[in-house]
Amino acid sequence: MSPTFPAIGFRQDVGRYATPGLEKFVEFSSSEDFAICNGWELKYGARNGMVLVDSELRSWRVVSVTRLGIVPPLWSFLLRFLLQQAPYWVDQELEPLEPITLDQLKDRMAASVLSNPDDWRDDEAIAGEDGPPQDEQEMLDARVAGIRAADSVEAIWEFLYCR
Amino acid sequence: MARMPQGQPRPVPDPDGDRYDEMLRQERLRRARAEADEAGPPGASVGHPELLESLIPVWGSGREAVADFQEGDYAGAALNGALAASDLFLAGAIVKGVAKGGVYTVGKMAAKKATKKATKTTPYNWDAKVRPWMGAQGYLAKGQAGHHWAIPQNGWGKGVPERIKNQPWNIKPMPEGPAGAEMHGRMTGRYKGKPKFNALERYIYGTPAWSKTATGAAVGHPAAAAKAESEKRR
Repeated sequence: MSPTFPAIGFRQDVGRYATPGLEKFVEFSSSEDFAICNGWELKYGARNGMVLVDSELRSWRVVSVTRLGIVPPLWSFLLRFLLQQAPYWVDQELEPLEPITLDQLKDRMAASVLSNPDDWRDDEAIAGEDGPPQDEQEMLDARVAGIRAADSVEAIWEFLYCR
Repeated sequence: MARMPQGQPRPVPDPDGDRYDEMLRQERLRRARAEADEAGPPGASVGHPELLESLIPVWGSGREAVADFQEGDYAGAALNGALAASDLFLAGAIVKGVAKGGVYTVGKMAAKKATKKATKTTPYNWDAKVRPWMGAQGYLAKGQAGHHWAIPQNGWGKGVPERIKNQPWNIKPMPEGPAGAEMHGRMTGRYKGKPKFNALERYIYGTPAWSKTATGAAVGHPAAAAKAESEKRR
């Protein structure tokens, strides 16, 4: 049984500037997208332990990530290697978890948005570059409201990532 | 002068004495000149670089500064020394930028079979993609606003592709805390009752240090080279 896409992955904040214990989420638009991991993610183990929720609300935990090879073309790989964003094909071992409800998914995403304001704020809107300055909390609340109003995983994904 | 047995001195004629003294004086002069030639003229310098050489970052202005200093042109030495220092600062900024990733790229789109769904996303979206990445790489601290300083997100910048304008080079981190939010707000208009910054304030607060340094270097290098050339002609 393979995940269907788009899917949402919940992972721990990792990296040099991470806040321990903080949960973030990322999107995967396709199986190819999920099968690629960049050098930074591999270095800090960003996918290890990640909980993946697919478009049918089935969920898995990533228990291991194995690097398979570089994503061509070579020139692009080398260029991005210098930028520490080199893309690799990876094999991920998934452990099935209990399916979750759409409301549970929304709750988890909303909690992540509110606990990671820096990942979801539009600085120029807050500064009032294109209209009156917006309040940061109101902006985050609007994002949460958009998540809660969606009727499917795909609708949430479109609301957040296809603007 | 010879001493006679009675103990009284008396002069003795010496027809070659004056010539001998003159010969010794000439020899001393010759040696002094030779030593001076070996040491070089007073105030000698390493020499000024040629026009193209003077445009080489750090090296050109550094050599120019040393030459100016040795020739006693302290104002010129200070100017060229500052140019060399600004070159070093710029080089440091570039190295630091590259060490943090430098440019945001989208690895996921490198997949050969990008699906229709993948092409629907906005991979260089500021608040859902690039901003979190910049935070993870340490470009922006928690709660720190990032200002699109060269190409705005809105206005005329709306027509510029996100992959160009949503990049670290175009983001000037504002000071952390409420002061940074206010500063960002006053870049583009009134903010909480305070007036919009004037052009000079926007330049001072709204452009990154590396950009100001690069501007100085772009103006300073040709100016310093032209100054050196004109001095050479004199």
